[in-house]
Amino acid sequence: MIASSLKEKLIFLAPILLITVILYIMIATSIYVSMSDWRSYKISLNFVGLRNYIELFSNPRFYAALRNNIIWIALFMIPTSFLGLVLAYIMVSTGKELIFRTVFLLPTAISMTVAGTLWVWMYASEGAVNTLLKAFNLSFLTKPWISDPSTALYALIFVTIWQYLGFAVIIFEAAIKGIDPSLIEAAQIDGASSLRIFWDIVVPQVRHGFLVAVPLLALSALKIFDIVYVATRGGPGLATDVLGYFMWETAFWGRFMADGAAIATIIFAISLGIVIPYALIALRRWFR
Amino acid sequence: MSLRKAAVKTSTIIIIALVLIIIAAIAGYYAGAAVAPAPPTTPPPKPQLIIYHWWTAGGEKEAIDAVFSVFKEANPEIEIVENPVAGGAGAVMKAVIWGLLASGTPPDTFQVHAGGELKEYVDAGYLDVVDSVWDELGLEDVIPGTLQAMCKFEGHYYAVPINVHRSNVLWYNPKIFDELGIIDKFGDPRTWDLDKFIEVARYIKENKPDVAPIAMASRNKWPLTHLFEVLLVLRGGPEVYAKFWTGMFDYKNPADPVWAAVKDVLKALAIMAKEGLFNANHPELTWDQAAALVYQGKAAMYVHGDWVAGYFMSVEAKYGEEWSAAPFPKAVFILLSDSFNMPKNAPHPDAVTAWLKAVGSSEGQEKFNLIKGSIPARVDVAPAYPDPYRPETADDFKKSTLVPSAVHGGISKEAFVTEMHNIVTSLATSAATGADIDTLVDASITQIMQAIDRTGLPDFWKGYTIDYFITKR
Repeated sequence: MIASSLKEKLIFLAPILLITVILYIMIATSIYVSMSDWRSYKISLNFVGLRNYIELFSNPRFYAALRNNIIWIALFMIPTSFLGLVLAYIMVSTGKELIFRTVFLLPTAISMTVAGTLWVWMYASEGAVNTLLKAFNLSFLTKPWISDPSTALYALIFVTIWQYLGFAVIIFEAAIKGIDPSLIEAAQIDGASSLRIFWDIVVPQVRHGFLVAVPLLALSALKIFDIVYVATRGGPGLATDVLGYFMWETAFWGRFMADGAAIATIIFAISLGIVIPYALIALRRWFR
Repeated sequence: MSLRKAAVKTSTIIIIALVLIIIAAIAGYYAGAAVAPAPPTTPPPKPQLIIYHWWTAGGEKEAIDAVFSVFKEANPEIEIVENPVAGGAGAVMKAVIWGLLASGTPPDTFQVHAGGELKEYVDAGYLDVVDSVWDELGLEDVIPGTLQAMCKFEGHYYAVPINVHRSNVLWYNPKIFDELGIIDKFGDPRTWDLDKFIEVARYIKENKPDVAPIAMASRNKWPLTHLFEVLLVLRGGPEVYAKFWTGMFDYKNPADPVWAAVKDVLKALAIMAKEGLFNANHPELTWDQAAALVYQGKAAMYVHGDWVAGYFMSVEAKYGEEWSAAPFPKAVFILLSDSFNMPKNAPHPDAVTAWLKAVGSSEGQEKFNLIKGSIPARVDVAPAYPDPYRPETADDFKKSTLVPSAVHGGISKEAFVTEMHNIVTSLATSAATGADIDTLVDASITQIMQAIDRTGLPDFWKGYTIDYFITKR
């Protein structure tokens, strides 16, 4: 009964096929638009080759946004996945999963637009963050977090870590629960400390958790847009500008649809750079 | 067995159907891109007016509702289908409208800033001519030249303006001004030039260090470009202003006189940022929060459009005590205007004509503007303003030299204005961190030159002269 016919397989594949086809049509169209002269409200699809890309690469703003995206990916992905793992381990080992999950998943449930607005208030010169710092006699740490171009980017990155932490916790919780308990028990009998168990047993055993979390978090950071739009519009100056916001502003505010599509294509290419190594590793595991 | 056969048969049908759907979707997609969809063939059962606007905030909504009531009185049989899309200055609505127009399913009418922003829709061929409404209402006799020009492209009108806002106003805190004797010492703000403005700001900073001399809000970037726009008129006059924003000057030549004025204004902005003449937290504020600093006595001056008056009245700030206003400069009126139009293939063209007549009518203009905080586009309508600010504006609208605002869609191309937001805020940000002002200003000028080229600004206004936009008085 399990060995199904080709037709039955096709039935189950059909929805994904449909979605995939629509997706690829959109990607192909977007790439074509990026090589067109569509620069007004009027749709115009005359082919201009790589002109838009060449112009984009000569625009200093592109590099400012790209740089911020790279910083964002690095400073978001690494702490979020590592903290997620640590918290998941504490959560599973203490057995207080329900409380932990609720606490850390709550920010994930809030929309980025709401979170962005809340954090702008908290980051304000006279906002909650600075007030708390003063209350704890840490006045020397107070800063105009998002008014200062040297801290604005990191302040926003922190918000995304706060938001996605719950997501990472859930992934690692599942991964940790998949570890054979006898491994941990054996280590405990041998007198290994919790830290040692974490480092030598849990971390190597949850590699597949990293395989899921790392690319997904990296992609989230790459396509970041909403919080930048809500909180800073890429400012002060271009301190928090990212490719996603640059694309939106170019395509929809400036009506340079072709140039916006070119930025989108570059984001897509970078995302392939993140996903392909992951896919290769995953495939190697499956077809070993 | 027969059950299995039936299942297989069903599955074959499903697969064929799915393949057909996919093929149809692909074909339809590309056909849709190439061929404009046909206009709707079946008439709707009840006459409607499908309207899009972005007036959702308190005061704005009541204002547009007042025009709806004027429209309803004359056209009780037409049902108004409102699609308000929230978001300052229509940032979100523009994307929605674009989708509707490009897919060939336009609404009956939608809000748009008169001027360059309107021209972008006209150039794309999305709008119908509304000359007949202008003729019938005799609007040419009662609407000043600059505002006519902002609705008229290649000899035809494409929109009916509903209101006028002034962009160049200096809002100030009278208590602080009195305390420091600003007006006695420096004269009426209506006559200040750029140097005097900086001098006053420095004087305030020196004598009242806990007060920000100039309120600023750059979280959404545009208020800083707004200040640039006003200071450019102040420094260069309306001609230089119009040349700069339309790209109608020898922009590749750094010795062109327009650049001298632009340079002075950029330098002024850099000085303001570097010397702390703005409130330090300006990157975290929006325009209304900056206005609040003035009536709360935390800032002395604020250069912004006259929707600030509406804001002050909504928070019940006291005129003459907590806020006061001066046209800045008095001799020039930088205007912006909201308008309505008739898209091609609008589903209910008769309803649109009736709507545009309501918009252009004396009654519609009076009711709308009284509530909205703006003044009528028609100079023959003189509502009894409850506030002390608007009578002077309305008078200036008849007597001052008029130019359209760039930041609010009037005289420039939005792609260029967007680039200006980033250039100007980057300049201020770098200046605040202590970088050398001359180097920064030169870099900004180079960036602006590139932006003019990149956004095709001079081509946008090909065939027009700067006189077209200016009503000299």
